[in-house]
Amino acid sequence: MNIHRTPVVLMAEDDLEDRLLLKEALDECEFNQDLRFVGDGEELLDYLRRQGKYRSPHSSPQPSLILLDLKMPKKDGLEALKDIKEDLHLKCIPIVILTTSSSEDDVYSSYALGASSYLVKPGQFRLWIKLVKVVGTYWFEHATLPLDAQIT
Amino acid sequence: MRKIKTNNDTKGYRELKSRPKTTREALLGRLPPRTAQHIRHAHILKGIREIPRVGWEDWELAVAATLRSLEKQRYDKANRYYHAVQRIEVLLAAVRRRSAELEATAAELERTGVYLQTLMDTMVDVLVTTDTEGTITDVNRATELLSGYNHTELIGQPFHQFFTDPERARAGIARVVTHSAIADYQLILITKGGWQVPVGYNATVLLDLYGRPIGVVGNVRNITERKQAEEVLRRQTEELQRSNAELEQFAYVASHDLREPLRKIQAFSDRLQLTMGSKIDERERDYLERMRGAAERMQTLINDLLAFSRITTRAQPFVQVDLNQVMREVLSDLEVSVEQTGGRVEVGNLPTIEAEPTQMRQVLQNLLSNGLKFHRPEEPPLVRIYSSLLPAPSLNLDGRGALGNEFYQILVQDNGIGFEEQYLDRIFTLFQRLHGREDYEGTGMGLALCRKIVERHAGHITAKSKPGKGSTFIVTLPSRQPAVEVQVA
Repeated sequence: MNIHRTPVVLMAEDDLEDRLLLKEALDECEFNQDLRFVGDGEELLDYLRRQGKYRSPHSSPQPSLILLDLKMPKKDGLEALKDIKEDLHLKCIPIVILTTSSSEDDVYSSYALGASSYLVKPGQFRLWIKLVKVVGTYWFEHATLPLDAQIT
Repeated sequence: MRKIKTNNDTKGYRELKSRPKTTREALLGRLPPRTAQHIRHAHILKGIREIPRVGWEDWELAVAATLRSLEKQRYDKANRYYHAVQRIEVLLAAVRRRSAELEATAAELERTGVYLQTLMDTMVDVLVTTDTEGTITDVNRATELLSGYNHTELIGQPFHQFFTDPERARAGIARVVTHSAIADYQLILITKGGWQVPVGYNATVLLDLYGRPIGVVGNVRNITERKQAEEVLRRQTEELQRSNAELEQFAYVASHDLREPLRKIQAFSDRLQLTMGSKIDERERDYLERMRGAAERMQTLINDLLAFSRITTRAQPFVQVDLNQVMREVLSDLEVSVEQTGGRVEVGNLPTIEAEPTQMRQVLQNLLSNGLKFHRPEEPPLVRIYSSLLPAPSLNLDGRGALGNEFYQILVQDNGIGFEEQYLDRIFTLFQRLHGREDYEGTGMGLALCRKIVERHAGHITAKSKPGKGSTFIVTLPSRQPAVEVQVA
């Protein structure tokens, strides 16, 4: 069965306030996740490939789930998504898009590139809580993640 | 004795009569010397020294026969002369007539020539005649003016050598010869002064009487101004495209970067409200609530502005749209608000026109929901939507729309609060409102959006109203759209 280890959630997000809102919403829901942040698409890939400042496995445990913002500096979310899904070692990690954009183009492109889900950032904090609760319950209580399957 | 039938005045007759007759010598003396010689010779050969006397009658007969033969010869000869002279005279007359005609023709030709030369020299366009090989055979005055070369410097020269691309010019001439004409063949002329002038070459082949090409007559038109106009147009188009792109960029910025801070205001004021919970009083809660409401309205304004700019930046192509179908969709969307207001909607037959379906839907939806929204408190709304084909002469669309196009009027009539017609311009202006937000909600976006959409469709929107008597919004739209849409930012 499951080894009791804390699942790692990696959030690629350049906006510090959105990081704060997500973190506080997670705390509010009393989920017990190891939440880590990267600031743009390049950092995300460095983390996943253990390059640059993420060389040590301790500083970069493999995430069970990636929350990916689309509009980020250097390498945006869609580019990072494409790179990850083209990488044989990384393509299994579920990626949930969490963005402000509700444009049709972005939604289509994200799913076409292999995103597992597409969520739009809510305006009110209580909606953040609601969203995090639903996502957390789904991915960490009901869904079986590739990392768990590997270990059992 | 028989009378000899000769004319009295026949030459030699009188002399013949006066001569002694019957001797051989007398006869021989009457004959030409050579003939007499031959006769004498013949007599000698035959051994005849003396010819016996001939009887008078025989003599006269013989002489008469000789004379008649001579006479006939002379007569024939004279006759021949006479005929010849006559023929010559006829010919001379013909020649005279002919030369008179020629003179007249020559004069006429000269007049025509002068006329043509004057025409050629006074015309503004350059006219160049070449042979089929492209050697210049004639030019007019305008050619000299445009090229800077004079007549003698041009004639006999190859046409193509005066252009930046001689091969292209040569090919042009060859094409005229093989295809009988060429139109607006663009070349660049090099003038004597070294200037380069863009020209359009229009030419036709010259044929002889048997239809064989003998040359090319062509018109070389200075198209500098046209080229400049094209250049200006190209730049303006680029400018327009750039400004459209900027507008799109602006729309993107508005949709993301402006919304982002707003979302934070909403999220954190909400967070504050949650964490403070019971620690804040009613007034403080109200402040937070107002903050949140203002942020929400701003969000709506930004969304509206974005929708407004997208009418042209995200425009879709025009297709055939059945407005009845569009109206059915609108009605099903507004079903709830019709029920809530207790209103009624009557829809007549609507036309099928060339338009963008989603935009038509926006227009009808806005007009209908306005009709439902601005109803008088004491009376449930009644909105009638119907259309009519506009009789052509009553059009006044500032030159918009095309000739031969049909125009439809779509009328949306309500029994609502109406408005003063002096505010007609105001209601179609972005974010302009006639009522306070507390009375009727909205950003003042709907009619501005309608106007922009209708104008993109080369149409027109206006309204008739009286306060308290309801309003009628009149949308005029053409049945067909131009092939190329003019993009105006």
